[in-house]
Amino acid sequence: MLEIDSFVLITMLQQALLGISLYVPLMSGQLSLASPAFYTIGGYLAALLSSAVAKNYLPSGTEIYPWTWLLVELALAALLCFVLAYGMGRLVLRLRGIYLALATLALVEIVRVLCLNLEWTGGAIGIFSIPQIYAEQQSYLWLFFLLFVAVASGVVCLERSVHGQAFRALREDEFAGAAMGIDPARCKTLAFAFGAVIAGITGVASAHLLNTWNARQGNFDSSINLLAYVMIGGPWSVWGGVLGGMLLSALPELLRPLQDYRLVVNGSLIVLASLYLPKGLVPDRFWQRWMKDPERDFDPLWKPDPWNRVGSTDATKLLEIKALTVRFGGLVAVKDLQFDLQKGEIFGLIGPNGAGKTTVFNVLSGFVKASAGQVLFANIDITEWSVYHRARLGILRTFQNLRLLRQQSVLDNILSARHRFVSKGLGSLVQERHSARKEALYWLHFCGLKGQARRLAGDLNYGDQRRLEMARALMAHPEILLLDEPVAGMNLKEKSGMQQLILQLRDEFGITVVLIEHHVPLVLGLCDRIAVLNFGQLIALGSPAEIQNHPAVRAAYLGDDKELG
Amino acid sequence: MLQTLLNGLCIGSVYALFALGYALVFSLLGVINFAQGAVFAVGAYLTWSLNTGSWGGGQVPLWETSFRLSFGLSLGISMLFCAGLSAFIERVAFEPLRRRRAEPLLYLVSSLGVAILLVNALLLIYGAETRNFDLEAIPFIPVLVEWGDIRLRGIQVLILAVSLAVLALLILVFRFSLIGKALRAVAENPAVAGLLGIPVQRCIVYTFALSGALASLAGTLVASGFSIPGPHFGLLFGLKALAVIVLGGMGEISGAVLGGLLLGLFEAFVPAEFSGYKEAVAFTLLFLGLMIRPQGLLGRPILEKL
Amino acid sequence: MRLQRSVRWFGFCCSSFLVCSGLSQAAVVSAPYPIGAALSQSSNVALLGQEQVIGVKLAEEYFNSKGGVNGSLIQLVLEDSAGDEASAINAFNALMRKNVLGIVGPTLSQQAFAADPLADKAKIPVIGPSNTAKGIPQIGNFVARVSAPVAIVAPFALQAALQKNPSLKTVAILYAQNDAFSSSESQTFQETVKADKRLNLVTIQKFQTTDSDFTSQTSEVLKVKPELVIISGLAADGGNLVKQLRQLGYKGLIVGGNGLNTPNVFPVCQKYCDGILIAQAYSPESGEAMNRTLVDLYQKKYKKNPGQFTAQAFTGMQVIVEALQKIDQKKKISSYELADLRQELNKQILSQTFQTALGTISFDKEGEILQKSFYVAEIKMDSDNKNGKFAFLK
Repeated sequence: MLEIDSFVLITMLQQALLGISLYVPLMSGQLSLASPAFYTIGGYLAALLSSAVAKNYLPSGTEIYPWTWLLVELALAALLCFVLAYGMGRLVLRLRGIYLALATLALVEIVRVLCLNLEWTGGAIGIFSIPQIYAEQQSYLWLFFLLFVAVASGVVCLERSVHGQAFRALREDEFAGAAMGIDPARCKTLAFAFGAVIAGITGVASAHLLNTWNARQGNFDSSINLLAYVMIGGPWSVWGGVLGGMLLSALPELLRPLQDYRLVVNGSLIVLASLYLPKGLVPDRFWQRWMKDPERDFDPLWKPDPWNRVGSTDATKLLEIKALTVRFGGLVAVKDLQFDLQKGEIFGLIGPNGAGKTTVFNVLSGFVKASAGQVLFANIDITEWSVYHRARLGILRTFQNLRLLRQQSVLDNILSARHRFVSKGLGSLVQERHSARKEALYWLHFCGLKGQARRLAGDLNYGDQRRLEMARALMAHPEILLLDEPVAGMNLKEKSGMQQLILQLRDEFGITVVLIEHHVPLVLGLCDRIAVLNFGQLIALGSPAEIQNHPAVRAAYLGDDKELG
Repeated sequence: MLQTLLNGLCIGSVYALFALGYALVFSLLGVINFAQGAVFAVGAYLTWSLNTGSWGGGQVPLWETSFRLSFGLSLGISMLFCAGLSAFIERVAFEPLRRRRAEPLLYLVSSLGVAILLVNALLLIYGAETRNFDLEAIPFIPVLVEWGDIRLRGIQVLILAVSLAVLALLILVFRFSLIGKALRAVAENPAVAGLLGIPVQRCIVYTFALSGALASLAGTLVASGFSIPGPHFGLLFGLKALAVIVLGGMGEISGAVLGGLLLGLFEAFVPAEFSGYKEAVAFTLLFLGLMIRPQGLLGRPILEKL
Repeated sequence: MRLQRSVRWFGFCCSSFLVCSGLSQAAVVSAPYPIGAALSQSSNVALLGQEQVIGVKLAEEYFNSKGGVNGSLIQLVLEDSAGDEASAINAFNALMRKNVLGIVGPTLSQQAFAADPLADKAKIPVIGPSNTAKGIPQIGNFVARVSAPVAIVAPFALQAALQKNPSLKTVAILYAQNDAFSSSESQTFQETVKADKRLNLVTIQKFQTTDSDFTSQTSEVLKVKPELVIISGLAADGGNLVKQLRQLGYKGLIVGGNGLNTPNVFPVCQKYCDGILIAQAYSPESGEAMNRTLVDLYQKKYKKNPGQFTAQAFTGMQVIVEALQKIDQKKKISSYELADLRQELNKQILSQTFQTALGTISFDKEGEILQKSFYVAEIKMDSDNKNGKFAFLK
């Protein structure tokens, strides 16, 4: 006979909450197993505080602990965990993947041993006779249910918000995210801290539920259990963690009739689940299937206003590069490079393979630090600025090797670049998605990706992927758009289409375009000015006509006239 | 001082031995095999049973066989068995995932399931009671080795000697033998190694078998030197071994050895007043190690390619 | 639309919860009378739980062979409380659903703090078999225990050591820090040693019950050359500690705490167990009639003497059964409503005196055990070093 009583339900909700607390950092691509540490901390906070309150402020003999104090505890635990995790996050989040998992696992054990050894945590016995909130244990179901609803809906909002989009972008490709203006460090720390807060408040409620609290509450085993929840439930959405947590925590209780054999069966089920449900019970993009076609919202008459973030300064020189040198160890990739960009021009960067073109892009977008020299954007020295900071300033790029979020839809790829529009604070959680979608759909159509909105970016053909990268960069409203081989792998027709597109960008939106391209006719036909690099040095700079006839260029790079067309 | 040093080296060498199995698997597949800790316990129990002739004691009633094998022979059989067990685990919990190119984390979960299964199976068979080897049954080992101020239990000396010998042997094999080179090639790039005619699948199975045998050896050494405090004890050692391979550099063979010895020493040098914190040493080292030198002591820096 | 949907979802969840949670009953009692035991059969606490399980099972067998409750049989309902608090609560809930009259359990004090309040609220008598931490009987009216708090037993062992070696001065104390029982027992030992002017406490070392390597602790202890070592721990770790201490050449006296009072230490420290002085709340050597019965039953099955955990669990069952017998003599149990019977049972337990394997015991009004006999024993190993016995010292 299978029986489920209220406590099992409470445990299921509790474990679902902890599953969510693991999922939230995972949303931004970090496998942090630190939740049990914060769970323990939250529990101790509740245990110590409520015991003290009951002793000092409540009339003796009060059986029921007032829920107003519970709210205070929840708030304090949330605050404490947030602060701790935020501080810790800056430290640990440099690590990735399995390394982060191990570091956070270590954190859990360190917290456990500390609590076991400290005086005020009550040693091995811990703290007992924690004041009760309800007379009946069943009533805790409501507390956990409310917490669960609050947390789950909060996380669902987060998932759908611009932040969630940013988290997912980072999860798939941190570099691409940063290039679109997402601050990886901040987002990751926040995700980590949110996870910690959820674990902390779950600890508060659990301490009251269990009536006693000790160092064994959060340990290695609980971390691993949480991992199993999320992996088996599905690491792609909050419901995976919820479902996994509920199922796996109920399992040993459902198997109770099996007595001694239940943990053996439990272990076997985990193995079977990981073998036969590799994507988890709730697969990725589970809900998308039922979503209506987003392109129905496309408004063919609307178009974004041109933007100008530089202002009408005297800056004819939008970007200045001064004596730029980049070294990788002993290799000098770029040497003493110097040129500037006029606002609204299309600038070509050519040179043989290994000439340092992409390195120049990497320096301009911030991925590579300059060894010497300066980069000025509208007279601001941005040499030391980070990638996302520059993206927000208006320097956007595409990648030669394509860095799309391959597991996400085309529309989501474009939307991931709207991060810089968003206001800070809680309002951003529920900010109207409509206008962002409208604009994303505009760029989708603008770049010729009509009808592709719902497809996975990874499923697009090569040319479409290039166009998608461009659409994504445009969504972030670039002042300068750095295009790294925009027509590589395209056929003639596509190439001319791309050429039209680039011209349109400059003419309609006033975007300054820099492009690296090996297809020389395109460069000559499109660019206002061209710089030629060879072995990291600028050997020529001028109009297409000048370049075409430049003796050094002919000697060093072009070789014969045929290629110049 | 020297006493503490030797104490630390003794336990450290076992850590190294055990961690080596983790490191081998990690270097090859880039995944952590959690079941290793359970295999460690299985090995210890099996050697104990063969050596003392007693089986069961949990749900399975205790029964004694008339034959008792010598310590060495029991250890040998147990190592062989665990090698097979580990290879079997590879077949069941890793190979299907690998074929599907599943996420590395999934290996963690499935091997964890295997660990839960094995540990609880042991609990059913043997119960949770502490088992101890009859040390007198091991020939040629004095109870106490005294040398000036330094006292070591005979078994500690044995542990130290055996572990260091096996470690040295393995390092030599990996450096210079053809098998070692093949393994390193597979670790570097399985696809290319396969094209070069290296039997990748067989390499992986052998590695798992070797790590199983090492786990059994380490388990037996720890159990004979200290005791088997129940089926769960392997998992604790498994955790420490994780700390060791992170400290030494994931997947670095010599790193695991260095890390193991270091962990043993650090633990031994925890001052008496703080002995309660000894359990945290491994994790603090793990944590600090990752913060300061994420690639580990001997690991190569991890470069992210743009 | 969406709002409507979420409201409906919310309502669905709430109602399903209500359906699941409303499971109360007004049952009548009928034979066989179910007596619950929530003990740890899995996790690493199982080592202790297993011995207790044997105890309650032997009790069921024994009392049923004696006719149960005046002719009606009792039935043991066993639930696994594993090693954590939530599992203990689940085990208690499962027992309550099965309408048990009383509960023996759980295994750990920490679990008792979580689970006992539930039974107390449901007004079901709970007998803690080995919950020795401070504050257990104070959890509620329905909570009692048959395990003596440690403070009483510890000093006796120290006296015995001083009798053996009146000139001893230096004392080293070691204790398992992650075990609630051991650390509070050690506290008592430390205070007793400090209070004695003749003695000098030279070192205090901590270890974990999960440890098996005590090299650093033993090295520290041997450095200060104590004449008496006091160990508070459990069988596995304590026994190991003794073994490693002796192997490293320690020759002085060893006093073991109550946690070492189990035959389980014999296979751990083997011949090195010999001579350990043990503070006992239970001794298999004692001549009480009930103890002889228990020892015989146990010997028949396991070919060795029972330990304290077994005896305490056995006693827990005995207390409930004998109280039921008394109630039945006054008014037939089968005529009671379940809730009234539980009330009555609790009253009866607290007022009755029991002749148990632990000696004559009764309870104070909070449910704390009042135990007359404590023992100090010296371990004497047999010649094959596999088994031994606890020889009475007084």
